[in-house]
Amino acid sequence: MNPRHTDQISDEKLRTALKPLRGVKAPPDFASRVARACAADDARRRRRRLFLRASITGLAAVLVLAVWNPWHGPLGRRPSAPPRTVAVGTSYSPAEIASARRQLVWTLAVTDRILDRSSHRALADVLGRRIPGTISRSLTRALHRTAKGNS
Amino acid sequence: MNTLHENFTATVAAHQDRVYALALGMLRDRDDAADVAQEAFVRLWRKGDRVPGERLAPWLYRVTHNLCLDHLRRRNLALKRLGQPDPEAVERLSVPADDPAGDPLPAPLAAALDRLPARTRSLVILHYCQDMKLAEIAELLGMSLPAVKTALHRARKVLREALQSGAAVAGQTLETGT
Repeated sequence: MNPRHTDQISDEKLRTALKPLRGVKAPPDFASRVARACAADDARRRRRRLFLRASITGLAAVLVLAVWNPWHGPLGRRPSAPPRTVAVGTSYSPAEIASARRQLVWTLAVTDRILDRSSHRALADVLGRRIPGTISRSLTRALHRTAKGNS
Repeated sequence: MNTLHENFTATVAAHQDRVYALALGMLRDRDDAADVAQEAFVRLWRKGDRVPGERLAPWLYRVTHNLCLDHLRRRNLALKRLGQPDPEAVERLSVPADDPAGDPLPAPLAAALDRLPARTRSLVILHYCQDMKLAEIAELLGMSLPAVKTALHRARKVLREALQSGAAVAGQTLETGT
C-alpha cells in the first residue's frame, strides 16, 4: 500500500480517536476563576511595587545618611573632632570620595538587581529627591550603566 | 478599563476551551490543566493589549505549551524526589472511565500519548484537535518544518499501534463476553 495513503488513513483514524479531546470544555466556573486570579495578580503586583518603592527609599535614605553625614564621613569614617562647618568634599581626599561613591553605586545596583529591574525609575526619583542634583545625575547614570552590564 | 475588562472576558470565553484542551492533552490531568490554562490567561491579562488580535491564539497556545513543559518538569522532579506512587493506591483513587471528570480518551490512546515526548504530544494535539497547519505549529514550537513532520510521523506510528492494540483488546473482550 502506498505509504502516503496509509498515513492518510491513520490521519483520519487518529482524528476520530482524538475527537473526545476536541470536544473538551473548560470547567463551568473557569471564566470567573480567571477573573479572580487576574484581580489577585493585580493586587499582588501593586503591593510588590509599593514594597519595592518603600525598600529602595529606605535603603537610599540610609546610604545617603551614611555617606553624606559630615560627622561620620564616607562609609562611617569618624574624624577626631567634629568639623565646625559642613564641608563635604574638603575634609576628604578625592580618592576617598570616589571610592565611597563607587561603593554606593555598586550597593544600589546590586540592591536594584535583587529587588527588581523595573525599579530604576523609582530609584532615580529617590536619588533625585535626596541627593544634590549633580551627584544624583552622576549616580543614576553610573547605575544605569551598571544595570545594562557595561561595567 | 471597563472596555479592556470586557474585551478580556470575551477573549477568555472565546479561547478557554481550546487552551484547556491543549493543557489537558499535554498534562492528562484536569486539575493541572485548569491551573495551567488559568495561568496562561493571567499572563495575557498582564500583557494588556500588547498582544495583537490576530496573534492572540498562537500566543496563548505557545504560553500554554511552555507552562505545560514547566509543569511536567516540576512533576517529574517531584516524582524523582518522592518516588513513584503506590500502584494499588493509584488504582484505588483512579477515576472510573465513564466518569465525566475522567480521561476523555480511550485508555490505550491515552497511554500512547503519555509515552510521547511532551513537545510531540503538544504537536499532535495542535494538529489533530486545534486544526493548526504544520508550518504554524513549527513557528509556534520553534521547530523546523521537517522536524515537525518527522516528529508527527513518529507520533502517528506510536498512536496507530496503540489504536490497533486497543481495537484488538476490544475485539477479544467482545469475543469472551466480559
